[in-house]
Amino acid sequence: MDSSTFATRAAAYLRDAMGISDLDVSNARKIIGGASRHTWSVDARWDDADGTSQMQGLIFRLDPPSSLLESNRGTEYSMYRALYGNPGIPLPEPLFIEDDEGALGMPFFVMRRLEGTPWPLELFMPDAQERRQSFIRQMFSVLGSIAAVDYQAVALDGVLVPPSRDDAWAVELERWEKTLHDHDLGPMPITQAVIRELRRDPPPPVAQIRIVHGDYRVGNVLFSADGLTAVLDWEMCHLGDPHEDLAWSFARNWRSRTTPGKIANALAPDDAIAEWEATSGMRVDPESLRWWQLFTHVKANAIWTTAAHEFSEGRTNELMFATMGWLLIGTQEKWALEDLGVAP
Amino acid sequence: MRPGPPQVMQAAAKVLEEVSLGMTDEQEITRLRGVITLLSILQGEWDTCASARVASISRYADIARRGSQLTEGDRRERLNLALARVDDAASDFRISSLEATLDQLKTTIIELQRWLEDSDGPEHAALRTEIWRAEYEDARNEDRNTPLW
Repeated sequence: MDSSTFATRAAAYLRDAMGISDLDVSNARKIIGGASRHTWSVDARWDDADGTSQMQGLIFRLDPPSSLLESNRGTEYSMYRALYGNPGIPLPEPLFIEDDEGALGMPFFVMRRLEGTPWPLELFMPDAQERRQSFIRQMFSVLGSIAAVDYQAVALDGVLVPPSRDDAWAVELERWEKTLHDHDLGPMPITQAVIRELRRDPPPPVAQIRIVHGDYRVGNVLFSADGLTAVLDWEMCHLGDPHEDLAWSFARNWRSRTTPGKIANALAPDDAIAEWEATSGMRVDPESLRWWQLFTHVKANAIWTTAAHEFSEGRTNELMFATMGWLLIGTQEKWALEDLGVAP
Repeated sequence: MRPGPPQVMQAAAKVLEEVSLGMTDEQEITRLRGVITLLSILQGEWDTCASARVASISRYADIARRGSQLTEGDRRERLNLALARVDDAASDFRISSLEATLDQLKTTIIELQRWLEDSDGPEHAALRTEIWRAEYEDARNEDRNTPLW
């Protein structure tokens, strides 16, 4: 769909949903990078009853026919609704969810647009070390706040299924093993060996079952000049062991070759853990963290494999899907063997 | 000498780079950069795409041979069958054929590795280490991302 068509159709939807007949939509643009959903940004404008002009930036998150992951739109929307306004967790306000494909050709939900960028220049500028550190510290402080939420108190126990403290790891391992199986691209001896190792040596029981974002990393949060403005991309959210989010955000995938010991070129893992512990009120268990760091390779390869499989099956011709499978699987397996301590 | 595919890919990437300079749509520029990156990786892999797979097949076939000496019964039979297939395909250097041979060997290696994890003895331990070494070598060859980040 081109920008003009999207603007026209989005305007028609919003007029009806917001009950504003003179609402117009401009500046429709597709946001690059979303592989599991299509994301569009628009400006909605209308006049109040007293004639005052109003403008609201909005984000539409659409479910494409072929997705990087089979994610649940309803779950993601529920997360925004449950956590919006929670202190320490900046989120865009969720506005509408629409299951009918009629309006935009796919189901979608709408939320308010917040200012910020997922890749601020400070992450890359050599002379912005202090600012970069402050951004990433905040990222882990927010992650701690997410881990601190009592999911029952925000009524998420009706939305997400809590695993038991003993088998939170097994639920996730089985989930991603199944994803690999369902998107088979051929034998993967290394990933299979890592799965067996994870099963042989499970982590200790989770101290407290908590909300796990599922894809918490640089690229999925927004930063403005003032710091972190929004946590986005909740489509892999579930209940489980909060170490999973820490391990995922520590992954080498989000580090730079020039500063491999630092997360996002800014912060050593120990400093990130200190931030997280301060807001979560929990202590990191090194054994659990190590298990989840190894698990990260299985999860990542399941995602890359799904992308490549979708491309191979002809369900998408998005270059990004082919690229993920082709570029990333070997790298991920190499890192897995290094983390397993068996690389020569 | 005729220009080879790597030179042609390099020229194609240069054309795309020139085209991207005149573009303003951020999304289209990003897509074009993705294509340029892929072309440069393909260019780098062109010369060794067959030999790298032949080397992998050789490494895994050696492991299967050693595994065959340690196993017996159906397991040994399956390893020998896999090795016979490697021999049958030895003169077929099409990439698709090499990939198929490699996949079939990897399937065998998964089973062997799983069995070795539950087996004791110095020869078993040595073969386990040898499998890790072969797999690491393979992963290093397939590591296309590290040079980019």
